[in-house]
Amino acid sequence: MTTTWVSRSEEESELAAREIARLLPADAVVHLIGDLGVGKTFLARAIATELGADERDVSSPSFAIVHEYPTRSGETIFHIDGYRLSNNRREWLEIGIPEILGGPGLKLIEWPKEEFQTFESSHLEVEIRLLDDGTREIEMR
Amino acid sequence: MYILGIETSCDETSVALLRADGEVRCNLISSQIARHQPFGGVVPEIASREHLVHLFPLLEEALRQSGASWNEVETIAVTAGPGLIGALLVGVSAAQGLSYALGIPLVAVNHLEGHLFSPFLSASGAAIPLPPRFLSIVISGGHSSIYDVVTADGRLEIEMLNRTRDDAIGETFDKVAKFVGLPYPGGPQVERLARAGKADRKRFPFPVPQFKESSVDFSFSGLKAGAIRWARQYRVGEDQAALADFCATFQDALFEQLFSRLDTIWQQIRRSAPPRPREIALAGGVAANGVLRERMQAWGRQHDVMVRLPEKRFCTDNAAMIAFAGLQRRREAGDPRLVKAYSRMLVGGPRILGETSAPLVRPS
Repeated sequence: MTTTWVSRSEEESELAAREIARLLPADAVVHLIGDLGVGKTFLARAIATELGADERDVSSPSFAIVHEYPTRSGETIFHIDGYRLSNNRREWLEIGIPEILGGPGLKLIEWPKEEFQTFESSHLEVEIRLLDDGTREIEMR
Repeated sequence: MYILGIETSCDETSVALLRADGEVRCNLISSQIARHQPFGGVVPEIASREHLVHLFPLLEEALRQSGASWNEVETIAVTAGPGLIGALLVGVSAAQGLSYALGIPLVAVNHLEGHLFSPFLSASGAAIPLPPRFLSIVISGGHSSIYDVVTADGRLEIEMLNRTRDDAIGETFDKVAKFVGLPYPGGPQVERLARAGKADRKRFPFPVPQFKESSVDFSFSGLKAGAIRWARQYRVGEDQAALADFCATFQDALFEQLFSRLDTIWQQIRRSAPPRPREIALAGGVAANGVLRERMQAWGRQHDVMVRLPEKRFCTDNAAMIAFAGLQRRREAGDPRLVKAYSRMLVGGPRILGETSAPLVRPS
């Protein structure tokens, strides 16, 4: 099933993110797909905030690879970034990626590696596309 | 007697020996930047393995260069976080082993506290005494924050006044530099090109972000997206002159946001309870930027504030700053078994606050 939102502003992207957050099953793995600067971290923050994380905790995990955000209900949201990761599995093991992907809690992943799929039972994709007129298409599938 | 500092949170393996007065006797850094360049960024797996290879030879070399022996080492300070967990664990485990074997206390240091005190390390001789209160701007590849530090009356209180809501300033430099085809690390490359170019905000308009609730937080992702848009539209990667102007404008916009937030914070802090800060420190990898250093000095003259700039060798990650932060927190030094590694670790207060242990160190 595919759902698409068209956003002309940050406010509209935030509304889309809230709807996405409400559609996500428990412990979901979400691949956030889109070019550099398209708004993946923005969307991750809006989703995490909707699900009870502190908005100010959320930032780009490019440097630390994995950010963990506690939610008000006592769960953990994982925000993962593969931007700087190599394709070496040993490195992922060292960081603990397989345990996180197979464990409880929502997983929001920017720049996911294709082989991450081997550690997940399934995942959803949210793709952001920036169109020439400045609007964004946000597609969940 | 010495304090030994160990730093392995990211790219660099570093070991330092400091005297109790903060004099840096030895600060050795084994940089991995050359190894990381082909990937356009830090590669954690390589980082951990390399730390393991370099750490003990560096320790031996540090003692040799300082003419010191192990029994002259009084305390060990190690970076406990934040950083890449596998990399941090190499330094923390080594420090625990040494502390236990030598029977000397270990102090867990927050990497960011290392940076925020680093401008007070001297080129030679004892460290500059910490003022009763100062602001410290820590800007690097992973962090962008301004801190209010109070040391009056033997206190050590650090309050984070803002943070970035998305990308760190150094990360923005690196990502945009990579997009226009410049090698890693991107900051020095952008600075070099910017010196040959002219800031042109008409051609590349980068607005300073404003938040609804007048927050002083940083946000660099809009600037990053804008820079990428302009770079694509004007194909700046293909034309050296256009690239130089682009870099000058982009860098100018990054620093404009920094100073805009600093101005607001300065206005607020001047109205707060005494002591009034009379010094401002600039730290982190981005503090090595020459244009920023000049602008910071000018800002200090304008506001009648003493500006403390770190030696360039103390801007990037290094163990001297970790040992120095360990000296500030030496009262907390103790049992090595209580020290853990944390991928996320907030600065502030007498204890480690807001820590979230990464999966590998979660107690089972």
